[in-house]
Amino acid sequence: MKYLFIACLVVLTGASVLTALWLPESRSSVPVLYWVTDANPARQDQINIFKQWMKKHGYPTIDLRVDTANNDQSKKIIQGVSGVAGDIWDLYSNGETQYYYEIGLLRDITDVAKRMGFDPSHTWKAAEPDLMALTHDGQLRQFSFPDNATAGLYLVNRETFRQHNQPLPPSNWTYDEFERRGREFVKTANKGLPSRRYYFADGVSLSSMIRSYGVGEFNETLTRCTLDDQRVASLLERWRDWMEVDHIIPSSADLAAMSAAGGYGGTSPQKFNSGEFAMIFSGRFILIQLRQFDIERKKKGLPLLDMGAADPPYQEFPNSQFVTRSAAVYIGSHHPELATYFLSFLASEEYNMQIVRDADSLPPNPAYTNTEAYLHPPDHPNEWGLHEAFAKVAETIAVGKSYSPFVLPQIYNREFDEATQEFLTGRITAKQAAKQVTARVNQAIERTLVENSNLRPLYDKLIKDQQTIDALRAKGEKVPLSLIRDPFHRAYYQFKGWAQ
Amino acid sequence: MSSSRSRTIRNVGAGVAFLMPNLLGFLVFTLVPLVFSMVLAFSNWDLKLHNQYKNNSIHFIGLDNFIRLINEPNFWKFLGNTLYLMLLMPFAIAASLIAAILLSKDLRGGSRRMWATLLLTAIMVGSLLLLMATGQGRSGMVIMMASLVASIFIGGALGGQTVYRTLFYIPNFTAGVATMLLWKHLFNPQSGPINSVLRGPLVSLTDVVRQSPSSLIQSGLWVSAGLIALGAWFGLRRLRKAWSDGDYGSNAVILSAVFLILPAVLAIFWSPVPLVGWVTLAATVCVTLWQLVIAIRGRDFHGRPWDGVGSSLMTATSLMSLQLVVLGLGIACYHLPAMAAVSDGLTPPNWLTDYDWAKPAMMLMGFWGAIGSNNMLLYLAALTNVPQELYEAADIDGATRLGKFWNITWPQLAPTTFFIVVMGVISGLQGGFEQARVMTQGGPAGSTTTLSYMIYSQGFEIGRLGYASAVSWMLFAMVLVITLFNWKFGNKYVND
Repeated sequence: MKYLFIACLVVLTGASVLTALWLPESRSSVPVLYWVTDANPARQDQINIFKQWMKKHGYPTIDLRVDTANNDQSKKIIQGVSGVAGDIWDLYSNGETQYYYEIGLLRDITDVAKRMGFDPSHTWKAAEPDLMALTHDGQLRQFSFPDNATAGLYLVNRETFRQHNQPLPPSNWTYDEFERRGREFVKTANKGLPSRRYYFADGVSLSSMIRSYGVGEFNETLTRCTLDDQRVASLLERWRDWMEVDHIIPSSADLAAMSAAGGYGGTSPQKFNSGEFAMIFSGRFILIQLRQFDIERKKKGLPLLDMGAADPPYQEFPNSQFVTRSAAVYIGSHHPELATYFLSFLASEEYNMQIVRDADSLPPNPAYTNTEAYLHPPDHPNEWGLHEAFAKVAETIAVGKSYSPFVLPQIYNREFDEATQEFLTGRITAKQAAKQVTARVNQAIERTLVENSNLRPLYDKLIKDQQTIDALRAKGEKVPLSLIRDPFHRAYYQFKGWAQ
Repeated sequence: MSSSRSRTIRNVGAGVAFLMPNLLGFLVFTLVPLVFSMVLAFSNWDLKLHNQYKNNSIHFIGLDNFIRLINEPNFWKFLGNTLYLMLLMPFAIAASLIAAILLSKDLRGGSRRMWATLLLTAIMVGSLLLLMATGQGRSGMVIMMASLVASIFIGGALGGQTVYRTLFYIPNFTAGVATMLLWKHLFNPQSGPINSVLRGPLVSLTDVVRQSPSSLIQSGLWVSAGLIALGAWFGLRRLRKAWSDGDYGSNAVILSAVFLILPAVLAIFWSPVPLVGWVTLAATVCVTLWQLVIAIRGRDFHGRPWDGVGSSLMTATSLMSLQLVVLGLGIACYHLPAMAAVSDGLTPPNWLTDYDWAKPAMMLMGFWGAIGSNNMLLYLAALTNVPQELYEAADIDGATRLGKFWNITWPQLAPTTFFIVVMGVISGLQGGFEQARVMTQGGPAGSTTTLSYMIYSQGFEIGRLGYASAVSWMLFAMVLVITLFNWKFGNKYVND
């Protein structure tokens, strides 16, 4: 028996050694880097273009591999603090840059980005909150660069509007107009049907709606949550009525019921293609899926989707939330300099034109949205005009998301979702929901300050700035933009003419 | 001497070497993390502040994490969710017991029974094929399901117990996530089979409710009040009899009686008609006094104060669950006319996206899993150990089937039931993570977030490892207290 035992030990040890030798790092003669990203067939093309780009510029040869299994936030954190995470991370617009900076997991690329030409001046202005983190000494430092960017608008199925004898939505409209047209549309489209089938739109962006009423999630210095506002309560009621009373947009239960449809982008593109959603609120990336429908339509001899675009409606302040997927370098990477080349590649023409061709949202560099390939893709004449609209929204009314360094975005999101869900299920009123999320987020801010005393000097400085802002506002004077940290308030103050 | 000693050393060495893989695994992956997490629970370890890329030091903060936890409203909410989901336990145990009893019968048909089954199956399959051929078949899925049922019948007729036992046990060895995804589709409000089945009867029920006087439908609330009092009477009578026989002690009976009276108290707060709540409580108090008066007359045998507390509590809490279900149905009856009056009439629930239905939906899935669970196997094994002489003696005495079950089978299964209850309580308190993660993400509005999900969320989403450890140890303390209680009182009854 003991010989069998020893034999097992030898076999297992041998297998472990073989596994170690079999790892790409051991077998490859060039450095192997891992890019932690989502599962998307386009990634392989992008890697191939990257390798060609490296060769063209005479940079070192490297082997870049995609790691789609560890893109989850908790995996990134656990592997990151353990020192074994991938070299390049894709970050998403839920405050990951600020969060990972707080944990110390990202490499500061401010200086190298300037040197290699991928600092924030090479991308969309509204992308800044996703790329930069507010350091404890109050500076903004760069930690990532966009893979792509998105500013949402309404894609309009013009065929559906014609079918129901409804006028096409204007490109610029208020929520009152949206509501009026929506009611008319669903009333006409669903007339005589045994159950509701047609919706005016697949949804509205609640955060854009809040901002359009002139309310920010946080105050100007990101030190307090400011959603406890009568305007928030009234817009929540309006939003609820659109789902539960007017049925202009589907409720979450309606959407869950439709969830049988698969494919990129979920249910919305399928319903848009079938005409059941007259409009969908989305970024340019949705065209990837819609192009698949066009292939099917061509096969069946049907006309291509007849599409138009409409800006997001607004109450007072026109805006659209700007989000990105951006790449950052892991602090524990064994090849940080080589990983930085990849971020530089994201600003290159080769990469940007690949994004342009694939319609994988907006390219990182806005300059490439002026190209003919972007504006008039030859194989998709039904999209002409749309691409321009996406770029225009990103350039003119898009505003980045607000992240407070004093509360984790996931805590804010959880509290916000919980309060709105409790409101939608009738457990609390809209006013209570606004009050609840504000109170809880502010409690979380206070808890952060107790747990992390390093943040206290920054907080105190920002509170002083806030007092200055409040005093200037009380006197009706203009406020220096340098005092305002929140991207919404920066844009809003400029819109209202309150900024110096 | 020296050769014997070296041989002993060699043997011990070989023994230790054989034990080492398991021992090392236990030390590295269980004991060390366990001790480590206990230390963590008293520290301020936060991944944002304390990791290899940050220079902050971890501090001992005493009981701060526990004090904060107790003061956190979400902790109590999530504990409530956990306990709510555990209400399933009595029903799940009953289901696995019924399944085990059914599967312990010889289901193999005689030749006549087998031919009858085969004939019926052939008729069913033939009819379906005919329907399909003439374009009348509703869908391929219906044909497939019908064929599946047919093959189960045939398999059962030919293979008997073995086939059915295997089929019943399938949910237990199917991957949890796969079954959860399956149930997620079953619960789909629009296209899910559950709502498809419910929709038709609900339309008919809407018509019935609309055509009936509202007061008649709403009187269901009064019926539920009566049933709750009746349940209390049944339970108290049983407690009183067991107390009189010396099986249950006085303290055990008093404690269990509290659980039987609790639904009547809750009826005051929950009933839409306050009078119904008060009448329910008055009726329950009356039956309690009635049993008390009978009890005061004296008892035949005397037991110690806490004798049988485990068994009496199990009976009382099971009955309490039933009373609460009846109360819920009564309240539903009261609201039925108003619900049917809206233009859509009565509609099936939105299950996982509805705050009030998300937990019952998860319990429904748990109930399905419980029927063919390990508990069923345990009961099956225990049933084979019940001495046949007891049944023979009961037959001679003219005992009914129910009488035999209640007086022979159930007491004989007590050790198994005790084990199942202990394990059920432990897994119930620790459970709910996978379901919440896969099916609801803890929503809507935190209605399906359990303590285990809270641990994950605090530890790996927010990074508060010290705080998450405190939640874990709080959970452990609860499990320990309840298990000790079970062992102290339940085990004594079982061994008696």
